[in-house]
Amino acid sequence: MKQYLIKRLFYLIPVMFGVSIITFGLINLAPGDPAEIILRSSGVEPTLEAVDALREELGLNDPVYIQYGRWFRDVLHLDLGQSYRTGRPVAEEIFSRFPATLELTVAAIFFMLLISIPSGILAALHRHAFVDHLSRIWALAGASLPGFWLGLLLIYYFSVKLGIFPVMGRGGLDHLVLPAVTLGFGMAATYARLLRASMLEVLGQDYIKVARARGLKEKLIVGRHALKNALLPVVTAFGMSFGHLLGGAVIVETIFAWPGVGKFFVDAIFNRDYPVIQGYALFMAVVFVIVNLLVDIAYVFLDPRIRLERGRQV
Amino acid sequence: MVDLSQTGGADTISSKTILNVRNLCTYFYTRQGVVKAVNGVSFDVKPGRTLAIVGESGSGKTVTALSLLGLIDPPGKIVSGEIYLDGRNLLGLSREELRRLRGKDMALVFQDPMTSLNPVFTIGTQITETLTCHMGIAGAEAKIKAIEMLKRVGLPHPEKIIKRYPFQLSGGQRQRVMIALALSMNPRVLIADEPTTALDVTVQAQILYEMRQLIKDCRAGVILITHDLGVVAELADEVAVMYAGSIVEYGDVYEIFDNPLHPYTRALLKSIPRLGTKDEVLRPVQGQPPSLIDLPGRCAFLPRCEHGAGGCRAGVPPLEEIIPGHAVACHRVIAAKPEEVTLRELA
Ligand SMILES: Nc1ncnc2c1ncn2[C@@H]1O[C@H](COP(=O)(O)OP(=O)(O)OP(=O)(O)O)[C@@H](O)[C@H]1O
Ligand code: SF4
Ligand SMILES: [Mg+2]
Repeated sequence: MKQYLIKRLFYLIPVMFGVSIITFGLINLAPGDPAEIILRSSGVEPTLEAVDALREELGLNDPVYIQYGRWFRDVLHLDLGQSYRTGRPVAEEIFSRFPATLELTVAAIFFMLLISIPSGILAALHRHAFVDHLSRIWALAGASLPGFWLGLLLIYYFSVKLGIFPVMGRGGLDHLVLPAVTLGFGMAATYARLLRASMLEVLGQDYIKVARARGLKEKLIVGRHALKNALLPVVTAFGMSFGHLLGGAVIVETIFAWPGVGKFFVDAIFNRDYPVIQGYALFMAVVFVIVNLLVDIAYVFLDPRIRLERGRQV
Repeated sequence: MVDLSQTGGADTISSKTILNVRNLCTYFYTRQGVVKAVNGVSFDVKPGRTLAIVGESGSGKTVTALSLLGLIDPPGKIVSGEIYLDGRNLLGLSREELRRLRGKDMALVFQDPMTSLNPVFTIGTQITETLTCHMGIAGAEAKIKAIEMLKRVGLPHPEKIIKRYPFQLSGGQRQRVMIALALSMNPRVLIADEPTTALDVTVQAQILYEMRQLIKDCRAGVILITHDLGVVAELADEVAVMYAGSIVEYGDVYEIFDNPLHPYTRALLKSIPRLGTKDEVLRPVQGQPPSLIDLPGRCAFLPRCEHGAGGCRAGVPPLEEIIPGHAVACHRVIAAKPEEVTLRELA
């Protein structure tokens, strides 16, 4: 297990290297001269001399690999440059907003689990019955309704008409409900179906039949024997779709004026605030990699075959 | 022996038997039609005795076993029949009553030990949860008992085995775990569905030998499902030969081997390879079994039967006791006088 973890962490090195190159490349791929953009966004007329002076100052005339090396060193020191717009360090801006985004995503995941696990199990146990059809329709809706539309709908009914939840902003638990539901809705639907399919497959296995033949209670068979096996593919899929969640958070934060990194990122795009865009991309890549590492660890805990065998291989 | 003049009623059943199955019919209602997987099967199991159910693939052996345990899932259904365990009709029990009986009074060792244990729980967990379920013991007490059980089936280092996961054990070890689990509650009836087919030959022999000892010790009645006639000769006291969902021959193991009457049984026996002769290759019975969806109103074996004749179309032959302790379902055998019926004559 320990060996597996070490190996897994070791693999992160090439991954992070690739991520850093791509993020660094972003700025060079962006249209226009960065020096010119900086001058423009700070209200200075980009004369030839001014641009040249700034290029020299920023080291933009050096060979690319030197620039990369310098940038990489800065990144290691958590220096992601300064926002053109606010003038504050990008890292600081992101870190101060990240807790809000984390709160939103965790709440959305919680909502997703709360809904998808019971409904996935129920749909599998009552295949082709009412619950199953209901969950199928909901899955279809969840997959096809755009997040912003659902968000606006929820705001209209629950905030404006019924006045149960606040319209926007971050605050107590009541502020969290609508954004979390909006963000988690589509995923909950998808995962309920995924779990249903996985449960059905597991429930048809010999060891379930044998568990019944041993006289175990149905609750134990479904909730423990079947569920633990059925969760394996679901956990794998979760690692893959975490990116969607982060993408969704950008939209949800914008709709609900949620003060997270997603909203900050959208503002940065509108303002061509390149250091922020770059910093956000890098930061989210790191978050994504960490989440996938956690998912792998969770998987390993659920499935002893991998835990023990991968450990042995190293 | 099944008393064929009586087709039911607990009062008519001999007190010496533990399990009496009468006229069991289990059908599967599929889109293609009604699959009559088990179609009017009757047999008895006595304590300390082993009834072997033999027959080729698809003849309904596993469905029979699962029916006894009440484990037929939709679209399957037990449509009729009676199953008496110690005189109690199991088909009249509630789900919960049946569950409590499973694993305790009636235990199952399933075909494939590779897939019979849950891959994500340790052996110890799977044994102790069974103990908790039936005996209400848990924790250290259950663990001690689990180790004891594994010792009983001859597994070395049981205290290590309980910490292992199924994939860390060999096929033979897993099947021993399954046998330990099945015998742990001292069941009245043990159903072993091809307990050794998935294992390699040397392990098979060992497991069979150990099973014989264990079965003797616990005085359970055993239903042994197999298509290996060698295993039958080794372990069985009585034999029921199944064909297309019905028993076509039923009797004492010596009778069946020495004096097989049904043409299908004979074909099966002929298919056993004999060492030292030219006949060393396995010769399966020629032809295909019929579809169980529309079984004909005549002997189901007719298309494959060497002795088939016009008279064989006269309805489905009933299972009739020809010689005391030996029943057969074949028009031609029934028509002939019992004394005249010998292996050589019809062959
Ligand atoms: N769930 C099901 N739905 C439809 N038909 C089924 C189902 N389960 C079993 N059957 C049918 O019942 C018949 C008997 O199957 P069964 O598993 O009892 O055979 P078997 O004698 O145990 O064969 P084997 O030696 O291969 O284990 C088969 O023809 C099979 O197609
Ligand atoms: S009834 Fe006829 S076809 Fe059927 S087994 Fe007997 S001889 Fe063969
Ligand atoms: Mg079978």
